[in-house]
Amino acid sequence: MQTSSNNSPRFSKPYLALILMIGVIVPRRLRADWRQEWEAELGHREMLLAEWDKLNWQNKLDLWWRSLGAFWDALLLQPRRMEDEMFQDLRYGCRMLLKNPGFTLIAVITLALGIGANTAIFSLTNALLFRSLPVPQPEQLVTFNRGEGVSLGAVSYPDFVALRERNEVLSGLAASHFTELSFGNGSRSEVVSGELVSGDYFDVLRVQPALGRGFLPEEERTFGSPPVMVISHGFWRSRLNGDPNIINQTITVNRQKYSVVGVAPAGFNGIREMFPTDFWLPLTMLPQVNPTLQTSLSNRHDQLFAAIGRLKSGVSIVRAQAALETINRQLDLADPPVSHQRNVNEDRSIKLEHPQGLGIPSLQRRAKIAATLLFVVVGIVLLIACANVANLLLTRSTARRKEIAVRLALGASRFRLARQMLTESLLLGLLGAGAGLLLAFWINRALMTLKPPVPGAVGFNLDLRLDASVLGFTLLLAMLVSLLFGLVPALAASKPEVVPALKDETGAATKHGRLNLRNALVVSQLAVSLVLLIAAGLFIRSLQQMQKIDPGFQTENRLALSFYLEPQGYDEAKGREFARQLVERVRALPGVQAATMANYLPMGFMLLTEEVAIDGRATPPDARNLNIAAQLIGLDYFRTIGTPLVRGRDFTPQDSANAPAVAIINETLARRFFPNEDPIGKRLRFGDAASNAQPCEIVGIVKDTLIRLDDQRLRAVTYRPLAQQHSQRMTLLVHTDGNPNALFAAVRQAVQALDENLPAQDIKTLDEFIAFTFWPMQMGARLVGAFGLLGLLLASVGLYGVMSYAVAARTHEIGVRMALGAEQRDVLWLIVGQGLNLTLLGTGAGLALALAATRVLQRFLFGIGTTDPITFFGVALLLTLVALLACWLPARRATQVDPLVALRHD
Amino acid sequence: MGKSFLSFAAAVILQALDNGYQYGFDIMDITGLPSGTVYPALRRLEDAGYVRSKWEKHSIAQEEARPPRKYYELTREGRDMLAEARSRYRMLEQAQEPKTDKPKTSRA
Repeated sequence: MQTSSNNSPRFSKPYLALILMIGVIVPRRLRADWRQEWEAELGHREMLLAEWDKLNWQNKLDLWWRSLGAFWDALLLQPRRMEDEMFQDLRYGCRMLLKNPGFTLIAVITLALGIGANTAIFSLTNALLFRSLPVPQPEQLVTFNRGEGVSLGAVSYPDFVALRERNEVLSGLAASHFTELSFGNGSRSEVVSGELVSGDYFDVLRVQPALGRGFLPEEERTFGSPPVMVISHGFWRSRLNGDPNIINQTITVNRQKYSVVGVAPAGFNGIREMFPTDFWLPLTMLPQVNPTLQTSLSNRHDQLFAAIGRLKSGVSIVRAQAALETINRQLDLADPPVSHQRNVNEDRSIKLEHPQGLGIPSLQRRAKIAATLLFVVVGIVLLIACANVANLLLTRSTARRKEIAVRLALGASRFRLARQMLTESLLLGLLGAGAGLLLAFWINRALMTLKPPVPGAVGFNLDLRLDASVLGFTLLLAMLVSLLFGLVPALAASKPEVVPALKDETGAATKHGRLNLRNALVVSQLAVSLVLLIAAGLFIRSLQQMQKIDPGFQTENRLALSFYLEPQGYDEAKGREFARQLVERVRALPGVQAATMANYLPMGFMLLTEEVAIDGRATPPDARNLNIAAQLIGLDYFRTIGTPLVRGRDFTPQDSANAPAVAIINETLARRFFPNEDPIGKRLRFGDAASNAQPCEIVGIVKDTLIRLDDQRLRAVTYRPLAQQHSQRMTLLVHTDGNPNALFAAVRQAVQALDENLPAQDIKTLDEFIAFTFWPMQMGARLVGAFGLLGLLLASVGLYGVMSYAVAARTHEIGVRMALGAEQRDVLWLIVGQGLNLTLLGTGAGLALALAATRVLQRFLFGIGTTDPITFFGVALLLTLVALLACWLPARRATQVDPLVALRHD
Repeated sequence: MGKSFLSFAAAVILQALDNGYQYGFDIMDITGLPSGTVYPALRRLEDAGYVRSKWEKHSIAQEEARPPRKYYELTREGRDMLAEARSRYRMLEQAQEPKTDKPKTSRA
C-alpha cells in the first residue's frame, strides 16, 4: 500500500466536483455520508489505478461514467427528502407558532369563528337534507312520492297491497299513516304522534325492538284487530319511566286499550326521523282510531299511506321506479281515478326517493333554499376570517424578513420556504378547525333550541351531531382554508430580497407593495361584510314590516286553544254540544269580553282551501286559480277577533242547521267574484261541481284579513257558520279584558269540567299562536344578523390591524412631521384619512356588490325592496362608524409618538 | 422492493457480496452493472434489511488520504433471500465460484 504522496487536493478531480454538485440534491441528513461514500470510492479507485500505473484516459472516462451514476443514486434518495423535510417543516412550524402565542391565538380564534360557523351550518344542512334513517343499510330504502309529492300520503291501502304483492324489485314494502293519537294517562289525556303501519314495517326497516317484538304479518289480516302497539324508546323512558315490565301491559289510545308488544330501539323515530313517532299501531286499527276513515282501507283512491320499500340487492332505484310505475299504470287502468275538477291532469306517477333529512319533498325544497342562503352567508364570514389571517401572516412575514433572508442566503429554495410557510398555515388551519368544532358544538346547541313553533303533537327532532361526515367536512375545509389564506403570504414572503433585508433596510418599495396587498384585502373584507350586513338589515327590516302590518284582526288580549275531537270519540252531535257548552262557560268567566269557536284561525299552522263557484253562472276569469280559504266560524267570531263587518249582517242563532245555508265573504273575494255588482244575496257553491251541497247565500262582507303572510294569492276568504257545517277540528278564541295569560288556568278548568280526557295543554295567546308565521323571517333575521355582525367584527379587526401596522411603519415619518411642527390633530387626520380612504373604497365596492347580490333575496323579503334605501344607508353608516373607530385607535397612538424616539426608530 | 422477490440485478449484487466483494465499485467490476444500478440497489437492499453497511476504520483511510470507504455485508435475511433467489435464477450458480482475488484493503 502506498502513501499518497502524489495525492492532489481532493476536489481538483473533476469527478469529485461532480459528486459535490450532485450531492446538493441529496437530502441534507444523508448528504455528508453520501458524499463521503462516493468520494472515498472514487479516491480509492483512482489511487489503485495510479498505483497500477493504469490511470489512462479510458479508465478516467470510466470514473467519469461511474460518478455520473451517482446522479441516479441521488435521485433515488429524493422521497426521503420529502419525509424528512415535512417533519422538519412541522417541527419548525410548531416552534414558530409557540414563539408567537399572541399571533397564534388571534389567528386560531379568527379561523375558529369562520370554520365553526361553517361546520354548524353544515351539520344543520346534513340533518335537514342528507342524513339517512338510523337503520341497517339505509341506502336500500326508498320512499314513494306521487307527482309533485305535496301531500303526505302516496298510496291507498288496496294499491299498497297490490304493489307489495306484484313487484319483483323490492325485498319488502311497508305502509304507514301518520296521525295524532290521544294517549289516555289516568284521568287526563294528551296528544301524541302515531303511525298506523303495515305488519312488515319493522322487518322492512330491519329495526330490532329494544324490548318485545315488532308487528307480525298476520297482524295485518283482520280490520279492527288486534289491539297491539309498539312504543318509542323515548316515550318509554320519559313517560313510562323505562318500566322493564311494560310488555303486555295496556295503554289507552283514543279511548281503546292496546297491549304493548314492543319498545322500539333508542334513536329510531319512525320513517320521518325529524318528526318523531311515539306510538306504532297496526294499520288494521284505522277504523277504530279514526271512525271517519272507516271505508278508506278499501277505497283505492284514498291515498292515506306513506310507503317505504327496501330495494333487492342489485336493483337500481331507476329500475325499481320503472317497475313500480308499470304496476301503478295497470292499477289505474283497472280502476281509473275519479276526475276531480282540480286534479284531472294530476301527475299520478310513482316517484322513488331515498329517505333523507326532512323526508317531505316540499319542506326539503324550502330547507334547501334556506341552507344555500346560510352557506353563502357563513362562506362570506369564512372569507373575511381568511383575509384577516392572511393579513396577520403578511404582517408577520414582514417581521420575519430577516430570518427568511438568512435562510435564502444559506441556500434554501423559494419553494422550500413557501412550503414551510404553508405548513405553518396548515397547522393554524387545523388548530382553527379544532377550536371551530368546539364552537360548532355550541352553535348547534343554540340552533337546536330554535325549533319552529309547530303546534300540538307534531314533535320536531332536530338532532345536530358532529358525526363523521361533519368532521370530514371540517377537516377538508381547514385544508382548503389554509391554502386560501396561506398561499399569497407564503409566496410574497419567500420572494428573494436578501440584501436589503440582511442590511436591515426597510425596503420601501417592497413594503409599499405589501401594504397594497394588505389594503386590497381590507377593502374587500369591508365590501363583503357590508353585503352581509345589508342582507341582515333587509331581513330585520322585513321582519319589522311584517310585524307592523295590519292583519285585519286584533291579536292583543286574545287567547286560543285548539282541539281535535275525532280521536276523542266525539261524533257530530257530541262535538256541537261540547263547543256550545264550552263557549258558554268561557263567556261566563270574569275578565272575558267575548268568546267563539272556529275550525282554525288565520295565520296559524292550519289552513283549508276550497273550490268556490258562483251558483248558476261562470266564475269571472279574474277569480280563477284563486286559492280561497274556507273558515267555519261560531257566533260572535268577528267581534271576538276584531274584524269589522263592512256590509250586510253577521251570522245569528237563526242560521242553524235547518235554516237556509249562508256565507260571509271578505272584500277581496267580493271584488274578484262580483266586480260590478252587489254580492249580498248572491249564492256560492262550495266543493267540486259534482257535489250536491246546498248553495250558500252571501249575507255579509267583512274587511280583508291575512290568512298567510307569504302567499299573496291567499287573500280571498269565505266564512260559513259552524252550525251548518261541522268540523272535528275546533279552536276556541277568547277576547280578554287584560293579560290573557291570567285566564289560561280558568279556561283549562272550563275544558276539563266538560271533559277530563280532552287535552288542553296547548293554550296560547293569539300572538304566540300566529308566531309560526313570523318564524322563518325571524330565523332569517337572527341567523343572518348574527353572522353579519360577526363579519363586521372580523372586518373591523382586520382594518384595525392594517392601520396599526401602518402607524408602526410610519413612526419615523410621523416623528419627522412632528419635529417639523405638525400638530397632533394633523397626525390624527393623516392616519384616520388613510383609513377613511380604505373604508370609503370598501363601502363603495360593498354597496355596488350588494345592489347586485341582494336581488337573490327577493323571495325571502317582505314589504320592502331588495334595494331598500333605509337599509343600505343605515348599514353603510354603521360600517363607516365602526371602521372609523378601528382607525381612530391606532391614530391616537400615532399622535402620542415622541419625535425624539421616532427619529431614532429604524 | 418486495419481501419475497428480488430483481435479477439485486440477486446478482447479493451474490457478489456473498462472494466477498464488499465495496460498491468492486461489485460494479465483478457484475459489470453500472453505478447507477448498483448503488440504488444497495440502498434498497439495505432498507429491506438484506444488507448492512459499515464504515471502514479511519486509520486505513487516513493512510490513503481519502475519506473512509463504506462496505456492505449480507445479513442473515440477505443470505436466506439469496438462497431463495438462487433457486429462482439457476444461471447464478454458474457465476458462483470461489473468490481468489480478495479486495486489497482489509477492515481489521
